[in-house]
Amino acid sequence: MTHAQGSAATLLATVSAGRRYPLAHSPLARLFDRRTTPALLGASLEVQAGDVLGIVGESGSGKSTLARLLVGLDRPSSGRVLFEGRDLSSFTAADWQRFRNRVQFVFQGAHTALNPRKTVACSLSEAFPAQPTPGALNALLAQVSLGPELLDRLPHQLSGGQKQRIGIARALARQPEVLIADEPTSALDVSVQSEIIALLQQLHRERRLTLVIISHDLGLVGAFCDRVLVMYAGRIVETGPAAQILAEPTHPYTERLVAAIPRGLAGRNRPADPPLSEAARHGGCPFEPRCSNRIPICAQDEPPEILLGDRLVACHLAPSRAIIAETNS
Amino acid sequence: MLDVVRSTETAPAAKAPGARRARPLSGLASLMRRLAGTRIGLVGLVIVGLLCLAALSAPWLPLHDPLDLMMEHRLEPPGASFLLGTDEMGRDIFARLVWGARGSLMIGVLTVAIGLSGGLLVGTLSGYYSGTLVESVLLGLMDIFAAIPLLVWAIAIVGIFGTGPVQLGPLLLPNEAKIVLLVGLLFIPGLARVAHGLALVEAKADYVAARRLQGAGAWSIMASDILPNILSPIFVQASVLIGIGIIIEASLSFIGLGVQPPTPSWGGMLADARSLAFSDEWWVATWPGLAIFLAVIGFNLVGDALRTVLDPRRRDGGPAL
Amino acid sequence: MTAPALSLTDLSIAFGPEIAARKVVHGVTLHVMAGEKLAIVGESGSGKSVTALAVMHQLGRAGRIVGGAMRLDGQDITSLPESACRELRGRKVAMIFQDPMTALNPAFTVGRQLVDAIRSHDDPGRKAAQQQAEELLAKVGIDDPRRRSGQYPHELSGGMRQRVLIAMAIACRPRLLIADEPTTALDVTVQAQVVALLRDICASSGIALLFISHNLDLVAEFCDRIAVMYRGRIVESGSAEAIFGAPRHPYTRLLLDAVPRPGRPLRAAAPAPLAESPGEGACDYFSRCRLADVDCHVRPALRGAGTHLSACWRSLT
Repeated sequence: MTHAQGSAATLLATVSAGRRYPLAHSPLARLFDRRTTPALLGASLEVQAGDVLGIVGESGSGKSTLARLLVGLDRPSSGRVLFEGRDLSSFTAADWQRFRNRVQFVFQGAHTALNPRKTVACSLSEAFPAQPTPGALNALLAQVSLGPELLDRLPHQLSGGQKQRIGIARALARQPEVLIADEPTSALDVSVQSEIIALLQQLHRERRLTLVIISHDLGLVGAFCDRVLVMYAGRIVETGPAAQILAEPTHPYTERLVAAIPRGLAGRNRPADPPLSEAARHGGCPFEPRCSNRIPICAQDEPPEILLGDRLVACHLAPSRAIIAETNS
Repeated sequence: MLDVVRSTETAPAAKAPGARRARPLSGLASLMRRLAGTRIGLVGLVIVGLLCLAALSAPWLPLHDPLDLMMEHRLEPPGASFLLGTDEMGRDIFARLVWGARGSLMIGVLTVAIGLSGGLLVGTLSGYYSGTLVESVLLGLMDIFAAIPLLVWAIAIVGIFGTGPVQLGPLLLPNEAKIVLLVGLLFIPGLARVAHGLALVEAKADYVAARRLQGAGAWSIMASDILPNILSPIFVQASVLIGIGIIIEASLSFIGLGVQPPTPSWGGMLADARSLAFSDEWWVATWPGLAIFLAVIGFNLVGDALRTVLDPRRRDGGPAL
Repeated sequence: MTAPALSLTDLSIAFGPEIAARKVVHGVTLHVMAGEKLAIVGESGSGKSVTALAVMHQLGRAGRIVGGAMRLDGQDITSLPESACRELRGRKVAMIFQDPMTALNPAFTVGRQLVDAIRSHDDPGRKAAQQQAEELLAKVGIDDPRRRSGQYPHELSGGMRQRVLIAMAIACRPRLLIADEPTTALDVTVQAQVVALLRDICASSGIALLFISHNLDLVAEFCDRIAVMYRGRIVESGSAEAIFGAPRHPYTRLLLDAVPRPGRPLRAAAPAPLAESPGEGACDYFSRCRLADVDCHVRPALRGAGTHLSACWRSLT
């Protein structure tokens, strides 16, 4: 992140990419009303080839906006998005074509991910650059463990898990190197969820597919990803190896997230999380109103990102807490 | 208009090389069969079908001449020689109704065809380009257009061009064509609004984003993804508008701006019967009124049935819930 | 011993027309005592929500009870006239739903909606109802209830809205609170708070809770007993400790393994059907079960010693 971008294996990167949406809907109204709402405030990240990166955060944290920027569905209003060191905004049509072949997206398995009036065969055929042969379609379905009998079905005739597999197959049609998945399992039952995760893991193993998984479920991301990026209020607040972040979260928000993961019997009688005040903040640390460790400076200065070992944390207290943790151990 | 339904339905199957079996029923025949499967659809189809049949076969039916003034038979009640009676000028009402159906139905269908093509185009474009200048301009134009009431338009047009045929280059446009064009254009804003709302939702759907990530162009996405998904609710709206088109034509003819006498039209017949409405000669006003009523009901029923039948989830025994 | 707050005996529910009825719940028996927290866990289509809707008499026109009985506080509620149903809903049983966005009317302030809920049963008068509304909001952990009650639903976060809905649900002091996936639409941190709130309310007011979820890890944290449903039948039921500690049904095991948990490698779930089901009378789980054999051609009944029951011939031990 803070290291210079452009190491050989870096595929995708953002450099303090931000996105603000105008409040006014029409361009005419925008002439008079220039107010905007920020969805993402300066996020920097790097995706290396072969990475399994998880992006976690609650709704409104900007994680989906970041994902849409990464795949070119949306343009940043500040900062840059780079693919192999080149800014997406400088892409020509041919560049986009190549980019689409290498970076693909899996949508949340909700009902709108597939066109309700198109058969599976039709939806998948469109995903290929040229009209595929029947054999290619069957092979694509086989990659996501589905049989060719589904080809002439319509989306409403598929189960939730099947729909999500079709969604993954559609993204795989161009044999991309990077797959970005936005909440790939949140619309599914737990048992189906684990099947989809197993499928993604298998794709990563067998095809060295680089994966970026966006989720609100830290448990899922922690169990699946190598590296985790925690987002809060449009900012990245903590980055680091998944195992470390789950075992000893540094940022107080990450701490909260980890504590909130349901743990079955082990989670019985754990102290209740105090309700949080939800006041909006301008200036200072975005998490300050909800933070139980806050100190006066938190209300004034936005914390810088501090590098602690493998981790990057945006918290004023992170260095002192790291020292305490070290002396304790 | 029904052709569009067919093409969107068969297109996926045709494009699907891996498809094992074709869908058992496809196209217009299947749509009709599914429509007839619902009770209201069946009744609607029967009414509309009978009206269309009568209108089409008018020249070959054993009818009196609708223009023939049989002064000796003025205001004869319904009976053996004149099935539905005669009017003030001794013309056979049944014959005039059947011949009038040609004009009324044609005007109803043509106006909606114009409104539908314009409305779908404007609505899809403005919905897809939501938040851009395209949307603002298109919807603004629609608002301006819709702000002037129909009657004002009609009087203005007839005032400028008169009630006679208009020479337009090599074409001689009959007065009916002016009416059709006018009413059709006036249907566009309403249909465009509905289409815009529907297209807006579809344009935000993930499958549209997925198409964009495949590098599909705007026109291709609009034609193959957005349009097919907004067609069915629009068709429902349109089938109801056919009835309204018939009523508008009747009202314009009623006030003398529509189909010109002596050509028979339902609205014109009603206008002629104005003075007899509450007299003993009840049949003169009743039959054309009933014909308008039947046609409107018929198209409305078909529209209602379309709503059910065109829902993709209701098709071929998918999950009921 | 008092009668259970809710008791379902051999309840069966079917959908569709009389001639082509599709049974979706087959002979479900369960009891919830006052103050007790029972969870029904299962995947979508397992019949867990339908069972809850049946208790609320909210099956709609297509669904109906085709067998068994429901008792609330000892009173038979299997078939009730509409007027009695209204009396039942709200005063005796209340329900909170998955989506707190659509369950509140966007046109009215939350205070107004809460006051209406209070006054719809024993009307204490506007002033007193207002007072009660604010007390309720405070009780569900909303700070500054006076200001909040003047706000509209869109001004509140999802977690706040769910709290308001809980306040509305307990406004008439029901005997039973049904929560149908109340946290699925919420963020994890908010989920933990809502669950803690439900737990506290049951503890302090003696309301029985029927919690519907697909997440075993979540319900095991705070529910006393768990019933696992599969294809309209209860396949395992028992205390949370028993089910979580020693699951007997392979489906329960699958559900437990399927939840990703930090510090434990993910185990891939069984892929889609392993085997064709041998027929109508066979165990419903046959096609997905790794342990299935010829015994399983006959559907096992729910059995076991004590309170831990399971419907499997090859119960895991």
